[in-house]
Amino acid sequence: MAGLSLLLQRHLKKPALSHLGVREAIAAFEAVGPWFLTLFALSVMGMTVHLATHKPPILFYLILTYASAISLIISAPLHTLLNRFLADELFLANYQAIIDNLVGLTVMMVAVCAAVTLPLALISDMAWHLKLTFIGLTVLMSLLWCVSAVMSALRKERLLLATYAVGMGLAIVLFMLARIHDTQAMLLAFSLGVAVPAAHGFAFIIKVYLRQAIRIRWQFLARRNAGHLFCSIAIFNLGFWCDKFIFWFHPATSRRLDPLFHYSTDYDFPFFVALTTMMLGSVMVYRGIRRKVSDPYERFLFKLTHNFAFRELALEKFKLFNGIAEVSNAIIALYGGMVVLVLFLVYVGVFSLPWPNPFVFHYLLLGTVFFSLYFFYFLIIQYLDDYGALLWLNLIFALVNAGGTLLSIHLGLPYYGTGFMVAAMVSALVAYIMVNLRVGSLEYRVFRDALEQAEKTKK
Amino acid sequence: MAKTADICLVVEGSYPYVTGGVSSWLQWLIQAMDPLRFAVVALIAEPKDPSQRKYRLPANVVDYRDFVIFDYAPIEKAHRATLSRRHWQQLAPRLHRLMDDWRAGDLGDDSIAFLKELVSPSSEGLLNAFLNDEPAYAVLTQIYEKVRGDAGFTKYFYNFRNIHLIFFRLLTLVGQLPEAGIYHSPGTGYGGLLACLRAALSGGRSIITEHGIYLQEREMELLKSDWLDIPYLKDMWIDAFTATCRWQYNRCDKLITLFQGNRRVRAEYGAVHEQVQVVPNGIDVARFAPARQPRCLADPRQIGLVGRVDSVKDIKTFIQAVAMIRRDYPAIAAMVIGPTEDQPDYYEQCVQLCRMLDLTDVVTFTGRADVLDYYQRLDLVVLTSIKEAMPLVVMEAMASAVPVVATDVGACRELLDGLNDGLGPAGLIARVMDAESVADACLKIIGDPGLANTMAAAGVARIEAFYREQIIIATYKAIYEEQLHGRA
Repeated sequence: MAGLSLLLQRHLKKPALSHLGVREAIAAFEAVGPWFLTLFALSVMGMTVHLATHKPPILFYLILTYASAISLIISAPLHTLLNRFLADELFLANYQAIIDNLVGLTVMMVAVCAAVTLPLALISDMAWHLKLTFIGLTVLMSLLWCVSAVMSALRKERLLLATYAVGMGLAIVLFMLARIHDTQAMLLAFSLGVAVPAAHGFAFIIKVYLRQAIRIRWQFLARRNAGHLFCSIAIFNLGFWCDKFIFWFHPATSRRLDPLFHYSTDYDFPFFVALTTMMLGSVMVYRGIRRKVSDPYERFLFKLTHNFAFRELALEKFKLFNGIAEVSNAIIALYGGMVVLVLFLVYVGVFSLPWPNPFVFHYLLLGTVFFSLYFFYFLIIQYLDDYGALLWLNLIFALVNAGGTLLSIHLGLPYYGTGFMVAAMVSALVAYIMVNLRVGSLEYRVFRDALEQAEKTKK
Repeated sequence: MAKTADICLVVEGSYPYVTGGVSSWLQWLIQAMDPLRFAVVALIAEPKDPSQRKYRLPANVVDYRDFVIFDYAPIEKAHRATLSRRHWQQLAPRLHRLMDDWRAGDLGDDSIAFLKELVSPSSEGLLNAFLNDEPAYAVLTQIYEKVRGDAGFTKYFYNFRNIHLIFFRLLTLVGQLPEAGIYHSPGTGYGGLLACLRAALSGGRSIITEHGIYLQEREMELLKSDWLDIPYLKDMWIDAFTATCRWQYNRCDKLITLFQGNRRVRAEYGAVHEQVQVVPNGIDVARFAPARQPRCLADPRQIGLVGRVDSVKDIKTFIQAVAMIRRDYPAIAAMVIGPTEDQPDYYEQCVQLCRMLDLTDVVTFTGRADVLDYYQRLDLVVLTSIKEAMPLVVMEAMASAVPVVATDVGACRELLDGLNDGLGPAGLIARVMDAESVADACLKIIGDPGLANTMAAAGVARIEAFYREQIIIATYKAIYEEQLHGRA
């Protein structure tokens, strides 16, 4: 009876508003925490160096940005493949596949990252120890993205976030204690911060899932439509970075540190701030995907595989539609509203922008609203395993972003940032239509795919 | 084999690869109808080699074709027809009408015209679109909501698709049938459907000779099946077969059945009583005349079951009946005359049952044998089948002047009691799967030689009067002539 009363109490207990607030804050931090932790660590390190030397550590930031871009572009297609592969394997309780394929991906990632960054490092005029640190950091970051993908498949994002916080904390403590302000030492301190969550991720996976001898496998590459998925994610990342690359290397906007490391004072800082603001939109996207898309979709699939009546499937599809509409509205109304408020405050002079061109930030910040929508629909399409559509969508974004950015540079300073904004708007619209079509014919597509799969298996 | 045939026989799953009643009947019919020219279309489940044929095709077969009925590759691999949304908007109502007509068992002119479009040479691509296009899926869901909205959808979807794959496959075969004046099928089902479709869509006459009751047999099979694990899936197949049979009954130009009882049952399934003609099987009476002997004059009384050892013949009931007969009449010998290899497990169970009942000295399994020898020796022929159409063995026993005890299945009652022909009973009828009923009937006959010989004489008289093969040949010739003439 005591147990029953306890259960009853738990059910009857109404959560306080503060409880809900804390829970939502934790969930939001889980979604975008690593970004803010990184931002915090870099800000502390950057500002300290700036205060101590009266010079911003530009090379440190540039190496970090290049390492992030290269590691994301290289690793994202592969770790997304692994993530989707593991989702299927975990459903089948094939736990050995986790380690075997993670090790396979790790080997592949080290080789590919080294192969890509080594020639790039040769272009640079930096000293060799910096080149090696750049290569090492890129590899390390790639491994972190990979292990993050696996931890995410295992639903261990909170644990990863905790170790990430520890890593960044260690980097700051080391930086403070050693009073370092040269680029090499700062990069090594930051590398330590990245190495902690990556190493812990590997250790956790091996401790929990190692049952027999490890065999290096690349089964995730043999997954159905792996080529489409690989290309679409690669193009998505290229599309996301291409406006930056253009600004970095276009003669009209480029600032050159050496033949490899370029940056753009007109674009980088506004974009960085806009991107950081967009993390609030990203919280809505990630939370929306988990609550409003993933859950009804899982229920839909459960009902489909357990032979429920059609109206039960229709009910889940209706919930999925509603969920997508809710998240879209939240992004437009809440995040969009917040963006408009920020721009208004900038306009009336409450905030002053630390860069001379006032237009670029307006375009970029507005662009992030549409980019959040586009990213949300992108994740839904990826969730529905429609990689052909995803490829087209990302191709549109990449092409419009690249073309629009070139055009904006050609048109002059007041148009900087319009390329990204227009690309995000067009892509969001196209993605919206795609999602509507795909969710509208969800059961048909599931059956068609199953029949095609059966046909291929028969062959 | 290049001449145009007068009659195209569309046969499903039997002739010329499987021995049995229907196959023997077909071989007999083709030979007996010479000089009419035949084409034979065999619908088979999987590809077969000509060496596997159990019958040599008679000389008057001018065309022979095998079609693997479950070979869906031509449809599945066909380049899918590109149908615009507008095209689908026009097609959907026609598809709905066709399906409604089909369920009602009567295709209207629009549906026939639509079917004609579907059997065009490039129909595979269109049928592929019907299976795979999104609007086709919408049609499927609409039908589902209308007919079976509470059923689990996933299994419904695959079942619906499997049912339609077979029908679509048949549609692709319509144009591949040989040219002929008459399309004749020894039963409803896929063979009958193909024959009727061809006649309805491309001209010609259609005849169906129902040996058993196809729909009833399929229904029994489906209800027992394990591969359909949910009742509504069985219902879907049964509904599909019911609609198919009903349409064939309505559409075919001549529906022939083997016996009167079958005619009554068929009427329950939708055939118009007046359109059904009864043409029984016939036998070569002269062949069995030498076997005629006075019966039940000496001990041990010899009781025989002529037929393969198969669960459908219910040999176990026969063995149990023998054990009961022996209690009251110990001087008996029983024989099971027929092949034992068709169902080895069942045969083994029968042998064990004999051991259990201490009948090893009484019951003999002869294996495949010349039945004429046994008809000479037997005092009584027993048939304990749970399902039969018009059993040849009863007719043979009657022609050989052997009294018969048979279960009340198929045409047995009609054969033994006659249709008010005043000739008297040629044997006794027992209840199905009732060993006591079988034993009682057997004891009555073997214990009363007078009764046994009276029944034997009545059997001979009935067979000679109504079931001589010359009569049947003449009837079929008349039917064919009538249909071919009608076509002219």
